[in-house]
Amino acid sequence: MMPMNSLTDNMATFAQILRQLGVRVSSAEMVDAIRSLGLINMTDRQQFKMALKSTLIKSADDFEAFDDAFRMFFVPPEAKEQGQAAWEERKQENECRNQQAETELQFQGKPLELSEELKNVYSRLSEQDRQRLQEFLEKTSKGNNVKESFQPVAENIIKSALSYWQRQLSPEDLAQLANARRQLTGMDEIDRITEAAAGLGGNGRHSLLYKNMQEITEDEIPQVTVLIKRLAQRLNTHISRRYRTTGKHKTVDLRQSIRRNMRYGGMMLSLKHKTKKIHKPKMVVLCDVSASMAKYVRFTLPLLFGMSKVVKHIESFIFADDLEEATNYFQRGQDFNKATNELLSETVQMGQGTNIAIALNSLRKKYHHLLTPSTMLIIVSDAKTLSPLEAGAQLADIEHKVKKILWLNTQSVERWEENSAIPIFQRYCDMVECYSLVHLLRILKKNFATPA
Amino acid sequence: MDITLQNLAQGFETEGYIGEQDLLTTIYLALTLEKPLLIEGAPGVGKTEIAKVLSHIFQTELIRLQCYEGLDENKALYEWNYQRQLIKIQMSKELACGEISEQDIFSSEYLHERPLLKAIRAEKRAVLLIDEIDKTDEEFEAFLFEILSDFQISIPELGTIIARQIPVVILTSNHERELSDGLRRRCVYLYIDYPTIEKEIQIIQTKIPEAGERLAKQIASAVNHLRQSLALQKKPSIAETLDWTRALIALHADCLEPDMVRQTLGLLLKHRDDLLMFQKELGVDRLCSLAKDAASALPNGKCNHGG
Repeated sequence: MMPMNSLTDNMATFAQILRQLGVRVSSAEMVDAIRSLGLINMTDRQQFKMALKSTLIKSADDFEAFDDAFRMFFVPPEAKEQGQAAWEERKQENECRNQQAETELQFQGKPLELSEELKNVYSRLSEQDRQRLQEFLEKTSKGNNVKESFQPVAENIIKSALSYWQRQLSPEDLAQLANARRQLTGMDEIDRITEAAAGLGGNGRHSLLYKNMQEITEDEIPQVTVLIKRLAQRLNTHISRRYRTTGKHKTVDLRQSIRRNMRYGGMMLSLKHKTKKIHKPKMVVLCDVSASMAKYVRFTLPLLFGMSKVVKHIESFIFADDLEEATNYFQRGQDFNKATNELLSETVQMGQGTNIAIALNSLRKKYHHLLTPSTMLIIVSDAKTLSPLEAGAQLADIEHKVKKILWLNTQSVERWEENSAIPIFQRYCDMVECYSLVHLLRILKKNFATPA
Repeated sequence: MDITLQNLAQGFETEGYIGEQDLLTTIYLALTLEKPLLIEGAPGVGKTEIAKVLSHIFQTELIRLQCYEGLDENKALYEWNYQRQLIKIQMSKELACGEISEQDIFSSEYLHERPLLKAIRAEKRAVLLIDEIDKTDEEFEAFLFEILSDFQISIPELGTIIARQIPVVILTSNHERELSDGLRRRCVYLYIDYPTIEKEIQIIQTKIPEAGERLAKQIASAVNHLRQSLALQKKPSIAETLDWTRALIALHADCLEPDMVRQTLGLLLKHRDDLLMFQKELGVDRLCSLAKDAASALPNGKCNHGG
């Protein structure tokens, strides 16, 4: 265990915990924090907390992580010891669970090669489900002409079954799994508090920002729509490289200035200026509403609606096994519930199988006028599709026609390797994970914050 | 005035700004660490007011730089009085008063001092308010945080000007655009949220003493209910609560009556979508009755809420 007998040690450990929780803390901020402690009454817990909070945390989005980490880290030594003991116990319990998975999931006496995560999923199954998997392995092990080389096949079947069960886990179990995936530092104090604080996410002011969009409830949709609209606002203030003449001072427009000052005999008394003009981007958004994307419809439809409200030149489409135009449903001034009810009652795409190739082909053929060098094509989909090679070819063709293709994938990056279509699509587009509003925020910040 | 937490608390109270301990601690740290204070929060929660209060407390000048899209160094820092320089050159030619040197026309006389330079050259430690920094572009932000690091400016024709006194710098942002990490790192950070009912009652009573206790409670409860229960595009701010209170007092209200609320609702809800949502999901009658119920459940007497 780390020796923690000085304020500086404690502060360094605390900063490390914050960094593990995704909060950016620089060395300069650490110096400020330590300096600030010399200016306050350190025995006053609230003052102590505020000194750290105002010098280390520079965004309200990080308050929740800070509050949790502070509450768990700055505790009396007895409470710290208790927490440490409980953490050791849990670690041991996890090891036992993984051991159990290794012992029970064997093929011809050899343990299967499964990831720690899948072993963890296995240990969370009911006795009955575990028994079923064991019976399957036992039977296949003893089958006629079953050789050792058959193990990878059995392994793949078990992996698919466990992946299926993983999708059925409760949000609490999924959160624990996510924690298990988290990179541990090897330092018990840091790992314990990081895990505990990360597991708490979801109670704060901005919890909706971090929520997986497949879990949002009906009554949260208005808030989601408002947040998306607010996030999408920045699309409207995208600054272009091109200049326009303006009364505001920026850069001298020599051509206009010379012309204007001819009347003063060429003496430059009155200058004309130019400034960067605000670029209103053209956007085409394709939103996957197939069966596999059904659980994200509470995210994707508000996304289409929110973007249509704030971006002037936007064309929206929904697709599953073909493309359907949705721009008219989301016109300005239209109420969200009314728009979605109309769309849902009239569309035939909702809940169908996915064929991105057909959808992209329709886009190229019927809406080719929308694909211009100033168009940004945004695709919202989990990339699970039939005919991925054909879809890749369509994408390659569209890539030459538009400015950029941005693919918002609702699957987490960890799952991408399970989908062989993704590497094909990634050749022609920027693919980013996007299953929460905080992802959307980061995407907008990255793609639209700087001048084009 | 010595900068201590007690003095600061007293100063804020005298100026009628209801601030909690957390807010005061953060401001105190920004002042003593001599770092800019970055304040974020929804519009109208009292971010700009902090700079005004500080300038009153320290009896110093408030220098304001209002940010907007396209704001550049010329408007924020300094600009040469170009026309005056040209006229001077022309006059010296026509009056044949000898050659003029570069120093003659690039002197302080021909310098338009803008807010940043003014704050740096101020004799007394000034309060520099850089309002709505999120409205500027990233280029300007990068330029700004260089100045805020060193508090010195280089004017090629005049040389480097170092701040006589490091000004108290307050930056405000409505979070319309994500600010850069560089700027955030250089600041002490404060987030101001909407107030609790108790705090809002105290604000109403401090700012508008004519509002009776009953009316203040009902107004604060109603506004709080609007913020909490409806997913409004623009939630009513403290400034709007105060405007609404003033309007109700002008109509001689001593409690929330549906007719008066109907007439004055435009002071609280300023988006068509928000008005439609309010009418559909809540309505004036229900808001009044909910506010009255909530207000009657609050303790009597002047609220003494410190945060």
